[in-house]
Formats: sequence, structure tokens, C-alpha cells
Amino acid sequence: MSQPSRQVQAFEGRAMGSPLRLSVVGLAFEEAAEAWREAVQEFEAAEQAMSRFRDTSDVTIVNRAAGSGSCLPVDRRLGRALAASDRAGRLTDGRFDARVLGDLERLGYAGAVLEGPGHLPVEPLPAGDDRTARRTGGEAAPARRWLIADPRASRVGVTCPIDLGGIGKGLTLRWAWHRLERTLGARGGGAMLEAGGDLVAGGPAPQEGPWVIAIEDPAGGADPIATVAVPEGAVATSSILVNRWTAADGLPVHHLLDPRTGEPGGAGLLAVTVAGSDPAWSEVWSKSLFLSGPDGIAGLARARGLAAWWVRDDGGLEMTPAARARTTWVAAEA
Amino acid sequence: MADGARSARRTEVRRPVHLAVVAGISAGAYAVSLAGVTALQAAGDRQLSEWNAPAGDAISSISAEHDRLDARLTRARAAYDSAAAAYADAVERMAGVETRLGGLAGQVKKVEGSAAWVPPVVRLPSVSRSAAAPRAKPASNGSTGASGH
Repeated sequence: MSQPSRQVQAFEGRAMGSPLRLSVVGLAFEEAAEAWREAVQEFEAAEQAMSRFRDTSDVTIVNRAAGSGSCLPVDRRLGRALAASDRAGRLTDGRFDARVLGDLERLGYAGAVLEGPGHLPVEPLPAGDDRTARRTGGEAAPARRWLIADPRASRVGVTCPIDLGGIGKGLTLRWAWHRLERTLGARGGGAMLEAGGDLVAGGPAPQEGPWVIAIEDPAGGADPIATVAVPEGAVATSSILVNRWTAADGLPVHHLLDPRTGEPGGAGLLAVTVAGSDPAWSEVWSKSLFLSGPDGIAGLARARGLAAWWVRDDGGLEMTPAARARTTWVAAEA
Repeated sequence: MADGARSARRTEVRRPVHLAVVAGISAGAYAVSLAGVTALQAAGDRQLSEWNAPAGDAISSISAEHDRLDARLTRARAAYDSAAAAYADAVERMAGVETRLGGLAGQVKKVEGSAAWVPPVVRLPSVSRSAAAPRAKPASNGSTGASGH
């Protein structure tokens, strides 16, 4: 691989509890700094709208009113994120579900305190709920509507507290990238925006050819397990390397909960990486594929035509044909 | 003879002219009243005819609509006949497809029978690697991995 031949302006900060980095190629420092400010502003606005770890965020306020039937005025970002979550739940056959917040808190992964005036406590799922049916091994019933939305008035309500988690970060990457494109596109620049393991890149890379992204070792090793070429698009990873803890019953748990069981899912897998055109949907599918487990992931990924890489708990790396076409180097094959 | 002449003059004097006058007046009055009644009846008939004119128009319109409906029914009947003929043709084709599927199923059964003889594992001869050196890890611009969510 050739060495970087173009000037790169790099910026780094923190957002949504993760490192936020921007690499800009082909722009003067002032222009790159303006692009960085655009990205930071978008992340700040999105975090204020969607972070359940902020007491004053829109999603925390909506969660506190969950189940009351009221529709509250919110930032348009939250409305769009809730609509995307609802759609993701349908497209992934319930593998993605924003309603896992109750289970996350039960397992000890709490965010902002939801108790307060108007808050209704998280209650067990009622009989007939599709997730209840799957937990008991029954036939899945049609999904119960949990989102009440008035898009024209930008007002939303939910029937139970929700967690936007990864899709919120993916959507924020998408929106920030759209703002960056306006700055970069006019000047012919390239950029890569990274937020806590997910990224989106496009335009000229520092070297000749596409952007090269390393897939980190989910076992914690210093070297990557593979590198992939990304001419333009997003890469997202769902991994259990972080956000692992011990539940109150003493059992180790992680944050990737299977909405169909309410428990940590994907046993037998350490990480799943998906490359696609959009960071939000790459994030949705990386998590959904992870929850499919080692036996179901290949079939689902191929059926969906996804470029996906996954690492089994024995360290083995597998990938779909679409992913193989993007792979430029594999540690195990070197 | 003289008595006869006197008697004739008396009879002539007693002719009832007034009766003729009364009869004429009565006939005139009857004629006038009859003309009035006739005029009134004619006016009433004319009004009734005017009132009934919309109904007549509606009846004409319904009649025309009925004719159009009849024409459409005729066309629909023709289309139905055509669809029925096409359906019958499709049924015949389906029967042909079913026959071919039956033949295909027989072939698949034969293939499955042959496949049963194929060993589950094929041992390929080992190939020694002749690569001079492992490929070096390329420089990367970024990384994807564990995230906060």
C-alpha cells in the first residue's frame, strides 16, 4: 500500500460517549476546521435529541411520558430516529427493537433516571406482544405499535421507554456526513468521520485508491484482523469487547440484547462488521446479524446481500462473498 | 162560423213566446258556462302537462341509459366469454406444466439417488505453499471495532 500522498487534517474530540474523529483530505486547514465544527454541531444537536444518558434530552423527556398517551414536541432528529427504529424492527424481523431499554435497565445498564412526574414505570410486556410470543416459543403476533407520531407537528410519544443506542449514532453519522458533503463536495475534498467504532468515508483518500479501514481484533489484540477497502460509504461494528458487566445475579452480560428473549444474544460470536452505503443501516444490520448467532448469520447476511465480517468466539474470521470482494488483507491468511 | 174565427184569434194571442225566450236564454247561459268550464279544464290540462314534462324527460333518459347498459352488458358478456376461453387455455397449459413437473420430479429423484453414492468428504491432494513471504499488513486510514453502543 502506498504511503499517504495527500495532506490530511485530523481533528479529534468526544461525542455520545465515544471518540469522535474527522480526517479531511484536500482542504486547507480553515476549511477543514469549518467541516469539523459542522460535524461537532450535528453531534451535539443529535445527542441533545437522542441520548438517554442526558437528563434533559428529548428522548429522556419522551421516555418519562411513556405510556401516558401524550405526544410531545421534539427535535426533528428524534422523530426521524424513532421512525427509522420502527422500520428497522420490521425489516430485521424483530432483531432490532428500540424497546429493549427495560431489559437493559433490568440488567444494570441504566441511563438517565426516568422516575419523576408523569413517568410510568417500565412494566412487563403484556400478553400478545410479539416479543412475549417469541419468548414463550409461540407464533409471532403482529408487532404492537409503540410509536405515536405526528410528523407534521414534530410531536412524538411512545408506549414504553426506548433506547436508540447504535441507530442513533449511525443516524448522527449520516446527518453529519450530509453536512460535511456540502463543504467537501464543493471543494473536491475527501473525509472520514469516525464515531466510536462506526465510520463513514468518501472522496479522495490520503493515498491513491479507496479509504482503507482496519477491523479491530474483538479479542483485544493490538493488530487488526483484516483490512477492507471503502471507496465511499459506511462501516459499522457490533462487538462485545466493551460494555460488558456482571448482572445482579452474578452472570456476565453485555449490551447487545436480543429483543426476542430480553437477554444478551449472539452467543458464539465476538463481533460483526457490516459495510454499506449508510451508517445507520450498517449499524442496524451489524447488530441484527450479531443476534442471529454463528449458525444463522451467514444465511441472513447472504440473503440480504450484505458485506459482513464476523468473528467467532474461537477467533475464526468469516465473511460473505460481498465482504470478500472488499477485503484487502486478512491476518489469518497473511 | 163567426165563433170559429174568434176562437182562432184567442189561440193566436196565447202563443208562449216567453217560453221560447226563456229557453234561448237558458241555452245561452249553458253555452257560456260550458265554454268557461272547458277553458278551465284546458288550462288545468296544460299545467298538468307542464308538470309532467320533467318526468317525461327522465323517462326518456332512463330509457337511453337502459339502452347503454344493455350495450355494456353485451360487451361484458363478450369479455367474460373471452376470459373463460383464456382460463380454459390456461388450465390446459397448467396441466402440461404439471406433467413436465412430474417428469422433473422423476429426474430429481434419480439425481438424488446418484448423489447418495457421492462420498460426504472428498480428500484432495495436499498442495505445498510456495509463497515467498506473507503479505504485509497494509496501512489503514481508520478502524472499526468495539463501540460505546
